[in-house]
Amino acid sequence: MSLWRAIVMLLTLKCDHATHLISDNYQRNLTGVERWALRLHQLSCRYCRRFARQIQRLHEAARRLAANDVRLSTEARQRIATSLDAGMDAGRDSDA
Amino acid sequence: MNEATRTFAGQWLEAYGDKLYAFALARVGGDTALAEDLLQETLLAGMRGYKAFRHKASVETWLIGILRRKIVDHHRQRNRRNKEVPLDMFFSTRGHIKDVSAWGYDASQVLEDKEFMETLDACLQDLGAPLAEAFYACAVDELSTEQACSLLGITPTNLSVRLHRARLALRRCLEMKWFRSP
Repeated sequence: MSLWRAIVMLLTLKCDHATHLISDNYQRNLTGVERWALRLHQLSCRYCRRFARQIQRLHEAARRLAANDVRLSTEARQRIATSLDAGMDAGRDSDA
Repeated sequence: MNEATRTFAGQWLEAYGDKLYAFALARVGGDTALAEDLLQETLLAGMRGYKAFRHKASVETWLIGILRRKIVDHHRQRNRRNKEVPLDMFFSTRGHIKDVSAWGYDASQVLEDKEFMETLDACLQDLGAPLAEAFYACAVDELSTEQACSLLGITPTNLSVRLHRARLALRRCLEMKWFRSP
């Protein structure tokens, strides 16, 4: 990134871009300029500070939700066991 | 297919059946019949593919990988709603975010609340498959960008855009349906 673009980013980062960086931060390391631009923005933007916090909670909740402890019913288990015993049933060979 | 592989599959069903089922169920909107089918297909595919399994990962991880792929394929085959989530839902024309209210709840408290979890589930359903899949892959299952892109068949840029929108939409949905309702 050119110096000029870095300065522009530091000074003009808006919420749309800031929230995108907050999101990207979970997937990759932000560049130094991105990190500083985000920090500067969040100093003055309460909404983006909240956004970052709430996203963190959202993740925790979604993980909790996905880790539900439902159990396979006995009937379904039996049915699946039978079909496994039969091996590859007709019409299912294609997607091996 | 020999007897030994069949026995394996039976053991997988015993050992990982509940876990795989729960994994599928959360990702297909609570459709139990569909989750059972996906589990069955996964175990059958595992039986067929066991020879090629290199034991780099645990059997459980390997089976989860197969199942995850089956779920994505299922969503793809179904006439999937490509729900538009335009950014102007969230930002003004000058790029300022629209109201983000304080949730004012203790995070741990919310996590114990069954109704909150149901609301979140509904919001995830509402998201539409492309965004929901990206969110599950990265935010819930914590796949790397590379793994998620290969699973979903999209570029890193595209993934980043989907994740941004998914987070915006989910946050908004929770705020509307949960935190603001009396």
